Amino acid sequence: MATIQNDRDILLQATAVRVVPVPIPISQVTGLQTSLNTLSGQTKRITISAPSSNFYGLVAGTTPASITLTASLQGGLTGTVTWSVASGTATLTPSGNTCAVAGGTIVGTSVTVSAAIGGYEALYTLSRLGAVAGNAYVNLASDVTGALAAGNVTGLGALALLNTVNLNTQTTGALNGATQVTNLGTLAYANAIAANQIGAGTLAAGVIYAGTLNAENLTGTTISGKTLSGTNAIYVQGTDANALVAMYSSGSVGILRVRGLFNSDSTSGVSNFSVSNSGSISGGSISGGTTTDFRGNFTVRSTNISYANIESTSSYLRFRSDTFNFITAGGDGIMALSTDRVTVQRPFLNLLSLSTDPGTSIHGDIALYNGEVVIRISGAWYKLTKTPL
Amino acid sequence: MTDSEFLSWLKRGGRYAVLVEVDTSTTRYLSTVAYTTLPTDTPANRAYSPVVAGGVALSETLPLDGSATLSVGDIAINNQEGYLDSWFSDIWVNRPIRVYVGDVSWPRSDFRLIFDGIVSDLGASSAELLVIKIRDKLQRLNTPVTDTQLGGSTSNSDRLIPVCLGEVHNVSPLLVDPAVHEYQVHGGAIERIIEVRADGVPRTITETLGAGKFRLTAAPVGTITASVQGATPYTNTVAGIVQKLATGYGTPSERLTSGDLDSAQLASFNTAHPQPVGVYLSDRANVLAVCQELAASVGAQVSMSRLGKLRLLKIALPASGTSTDIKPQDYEAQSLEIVSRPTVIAGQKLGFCKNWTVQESVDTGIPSEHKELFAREWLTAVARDSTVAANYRLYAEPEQTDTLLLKSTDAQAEATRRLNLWKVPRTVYRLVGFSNLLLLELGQPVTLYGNRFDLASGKSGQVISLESDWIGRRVTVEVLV
Repeated sequence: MATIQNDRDILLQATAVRVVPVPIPISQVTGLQTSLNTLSGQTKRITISAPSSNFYGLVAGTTPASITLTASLQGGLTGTVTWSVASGTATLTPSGNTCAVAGGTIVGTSVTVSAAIGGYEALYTLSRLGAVAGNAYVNLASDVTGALAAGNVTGLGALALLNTVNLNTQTTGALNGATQVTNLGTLAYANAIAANQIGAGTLAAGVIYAGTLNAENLTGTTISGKTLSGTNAIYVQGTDANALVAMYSSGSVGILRVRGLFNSDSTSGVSNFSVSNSGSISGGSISGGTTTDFRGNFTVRSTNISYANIESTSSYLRFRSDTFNFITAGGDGIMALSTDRVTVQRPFLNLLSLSTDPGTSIHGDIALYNGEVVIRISGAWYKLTKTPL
Repeated sequence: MTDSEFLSWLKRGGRYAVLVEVDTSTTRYLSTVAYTTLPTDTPANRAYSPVVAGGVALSETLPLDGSATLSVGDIAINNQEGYLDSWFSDIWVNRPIRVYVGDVSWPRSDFRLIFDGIVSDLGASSAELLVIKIRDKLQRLNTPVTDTQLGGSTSNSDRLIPVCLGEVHNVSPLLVDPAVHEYQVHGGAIERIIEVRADGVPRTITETLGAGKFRLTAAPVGTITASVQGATPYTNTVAGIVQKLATGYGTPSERLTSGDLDSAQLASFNTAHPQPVGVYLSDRANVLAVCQELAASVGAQVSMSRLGKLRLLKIALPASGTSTDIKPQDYEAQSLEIVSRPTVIAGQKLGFCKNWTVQESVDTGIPSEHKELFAREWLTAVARDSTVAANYRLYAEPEQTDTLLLKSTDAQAEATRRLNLWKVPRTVYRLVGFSNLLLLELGQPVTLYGNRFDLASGKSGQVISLESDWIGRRVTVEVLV
């Protein structure tokens, strides 16, 4: 069966109501109105009318206080009707074909009154409604007495009547929707997170991605590529014999790369790197950089610096200081040449100052002997001759 | 023999022969020069009488107003001393005729068929000259769609049994059996009865689709009408219904066969024109006229090719197909002229979704808008161009042209198409072409070049008229640009 194509049949069949009932006015039917009038006039019946069918208010004071029913006899009926209560309870006050009913006498919500005569009867029902029934709406503040009980509230139940809701005892399950919080436990309700509320584990990348981490103690962790600032940016303190800071690198670039950060503390005279008392620098070397990098940064007091500890393999060892003292208590010279040389760039300085008279025992290759400088060349000693420049 | 080989022969000339075969009581084999088929030809050793005189001129036109036309022509026959007078005893009317062109040196099978039509009649233009008047095969469709009457003893016994093709709205069915309230909408199986109404109120029916009938379940009150989808196998397109009419209706002996249809062209047309249509024929109607009305609904025309194949052609610019150039060297000098300048239009108004039973006063309780619908014969779709109206000082409200389209979307699209075609100035040019234009066909797209009329750069057009003189090897061509 092919689909309908033409616009007209599509329109017709899309119409929900294809046939509309045609009302025929009574006047269009000859004699109908007359017949109806005749029929109405010839029908014996009782009709009851009243100014109102409802009472409003309490038993003690309804509005109106009473309603008068009037029985009308139609179709030739004559006489006085008999009034009675057909259903319900109320007090009737008949007076001929009228009957007053006081609202306060109605028991329950309604009463049906009967008017009867000669086998014909009509009924009329009066209702007694609460005062609120006459209002357009119920004012909960003035029309309702007492609080709503939990049992009278649906939906939110008793919680709807509370000022607050205890999430600990009066809720079940996690918060839902946009405020949903999971896995945070009590932290979910805290205003701030204390340091001791971050336990074991590692903060994932991005957890702290901006701002400053203000921590008193960092234990067993790794910090990379970040800045530490503030007074004593890093303060290392220890009490036992182990090294406070152990630096080890398996690479070839050295542990420390220093440039411009090591400045002398002129006030206290303590260099940034200092070794005091009997400490020693041994086992390893300081290499790389230039002599400028070490200027004034190292002070070695009363310690042993073996030749292996300070050396230069590709250049020369240069000391730049206004005062440079060599102190020895042994038999060897303070400076001993082996296969390399000693370069003194400031010839007008007092090059060698011996604290003790070598006496008869002359050690080293340069020495004072009887107030003159002597130099040992190829095992033989020679005295220097002063020649003006 | 290919077209190019045939055209090449036309250009260089030769011993030109026109063969005419007429299937009268005795098939006549005529020619312009003496010609006998070869023993290997079919038919073998057939001698053609060299009695054809003068020219063999054929005229075919695609009218701009969409009316149907027949290709016509005359073939003059020498009748010296009246020795062919006996031919008047033969039956010539509506007999098939075929015209071939070729070289007398060719075998019969190489001759090119240039016309396949029917004879209108045999006449005499003078005492010594007979004239065979020829028409194309559309003449065979010039017959009543049906003459089948209901019969029986009812008051409708002499009424024609209706023909319903495609989808129709609110037709008046034929009461065929008042005793059982039986009606008929088609003399055969139909696709569907959409709805039956009595004064517009839908009625319950018992349908017999196989016989195109239905019965009311209660006595009819008011005018009974029905919306129907007609004959099966069901089709509701122009090409489909035209083919059904041409091959299945009309005088049985004159109906076209499937071999008379240009199936490829019709299939292509059907694909390009799927718009649903429908026609309900309760009275005498002409097959050709109905076919033309259907075709005109989408701006097309029924036409026969020279080879006697039914086609649906449509005036459209640009026309569909590969364009052929017509340049000054293809036609006689000074022959190019302007024939006409069709009127520019600023609006097009089409009627569609015909209400086949107009009911102007329906008092039943149907909605008022339905009453208005039943009171109107046509719904309309309008396309306007206010700029063209202002420029050409034309009236904005066009005259209504009725179609058998069913849908407003289709009607609106067709109205817009026609407006776009004719809201610009068009010109019909005429020229006398040489032999290489003899193979042009009606409706064919061409690009016309000329030294006049602003045609130096060529303009796209469509062939709308051809008058072919196969003896003189000239063709008068009219092109709509």
